[in-house]
Amino acid sequence: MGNSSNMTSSDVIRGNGSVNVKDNSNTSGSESNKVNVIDNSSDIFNGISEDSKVNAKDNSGYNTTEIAKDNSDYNTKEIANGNAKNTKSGGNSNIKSNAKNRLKPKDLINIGIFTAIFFVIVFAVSFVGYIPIFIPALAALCPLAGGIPFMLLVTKVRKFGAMLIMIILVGLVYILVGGISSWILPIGIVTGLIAELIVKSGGYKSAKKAIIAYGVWSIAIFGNFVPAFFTRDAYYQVIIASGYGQEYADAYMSFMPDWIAPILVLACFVFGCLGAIIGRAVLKKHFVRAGMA
Amino acid sequence: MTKEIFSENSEGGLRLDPRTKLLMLVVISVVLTTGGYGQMMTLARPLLAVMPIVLLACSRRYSAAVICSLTFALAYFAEIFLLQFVGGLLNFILLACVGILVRFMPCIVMAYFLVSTTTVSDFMAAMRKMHVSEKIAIPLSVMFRFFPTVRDEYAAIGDAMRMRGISFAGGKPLKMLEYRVVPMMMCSLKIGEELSCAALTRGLGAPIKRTNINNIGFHAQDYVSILLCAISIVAYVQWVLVS
Repeated sequence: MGNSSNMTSSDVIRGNGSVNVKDNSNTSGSESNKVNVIDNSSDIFNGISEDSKVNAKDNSGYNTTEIAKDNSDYNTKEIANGNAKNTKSGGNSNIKSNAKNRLKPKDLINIGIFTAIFFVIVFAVSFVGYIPIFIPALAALCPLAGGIPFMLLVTKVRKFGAMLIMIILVGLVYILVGGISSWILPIGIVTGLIAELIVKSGGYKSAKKAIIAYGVWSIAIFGNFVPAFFTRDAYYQVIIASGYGQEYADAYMSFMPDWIAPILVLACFVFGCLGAIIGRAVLKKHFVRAGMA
Repeated sequence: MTKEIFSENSEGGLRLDPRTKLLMLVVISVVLTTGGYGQMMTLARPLLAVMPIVLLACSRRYSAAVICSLTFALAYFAEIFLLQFVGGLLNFILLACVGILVRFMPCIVMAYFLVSTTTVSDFMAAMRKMHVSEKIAIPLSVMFRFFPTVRDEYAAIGDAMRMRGISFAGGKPLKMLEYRVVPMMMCSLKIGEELSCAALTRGLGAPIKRTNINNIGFHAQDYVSILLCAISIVAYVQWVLVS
């Protein structure tokens, strides 16, 4: 198994990736394949994906490797469960590839897409916050709802930077169309980096570490509430002055006493983990089975 | 999807630099969502709220402009006159609707204007001129392009679900999340693959510096818009200092 994988990855570099990948799945793959798909469902982070395996050696020439990578990528998808198998056999080059895993345009595009979905879901959920009693609950609902797109992204892009770029984008969009919550960006850069390190320590394979990473990552959502705690009086004035009305401001402040701040941070983390678990369950149920993750 | 993803400004109308549009979006969102009323703000608020609608009309999106202006006028009226007369729970509900409309609609209209009138290459050219890293610029442009797609695909998925008798009425909310979000992400994955193929043929990710034929730059209309933004910022700063 390990040998054949080495052959494939070096052959892909030579430019005839498509043939080899197919061969591989036909010969060594077929029976371990089925086993793997079932096994994998218990651990979606099983091994590194096809691109990053090729990545290990691809700084030689841009054109050939890029095309080769793409060929092999699509072929594995067409074979449908070839992907799952290749991830397993890629274990060898795994350690080597960690050193050299730049984000490719494809990864960047995936990040953009999943951030858009994440943002749409979270934005829809956060309208609940117009009813004051639900404001603290946002710390739980937002991370919970965003788990599915996040976990899928983390499964698709197993490279350093995906989570960090995602939270930076979320923070930027919050500044662009939110106005109030400019704290998500600075907090997000910190939590995003920590989350990256957590996932990296698991070699981008460990599902548990990805779940914890999402928990840490979603602490950035707490950035929404920062002005309410740290500049309370000023924020109270801002709420009233910006036309929400005295009643809303009073209600907001009564539902946000100081002691709730650590609870909210904790809620972000716990419900983030929960959201990630849900996301992983959905991933197992739908995407792994369809050969898409 | 095709029209919005690859929207061209070939239909004519006003042409603004993407950087101007971004500046306007930031100014509108900051001033309208965090700013209040009084003094110069009474002037700046309607100015900023009307600006995206005027821009929509100038770029020949008349129906969108009419719908937006009607909704906004109604919400503004409700906020000023109606809210004083109701209290309690009704106040909260009304406040929620009105607050969303008055505070977020100009932003959303502006964001819509930005997304629907800026091509990807315009956006990338602007990002390059602002020296933004490609690692941020590419996902950002994909994301802005993707919001309309999310809407379209979501509507299509909703139709398909209704056809099979799956709807919010009587359904379990968690199941609904699954039935909506999972198909959404399935087709997003597909679209992502297509997009990355397209990007690859355009040389994205090549180790050389890409050229761009889009000729972006500031013109008279940009300077006018920037001036209006500057006036609003002055009003906002003054309001912050006073209150």
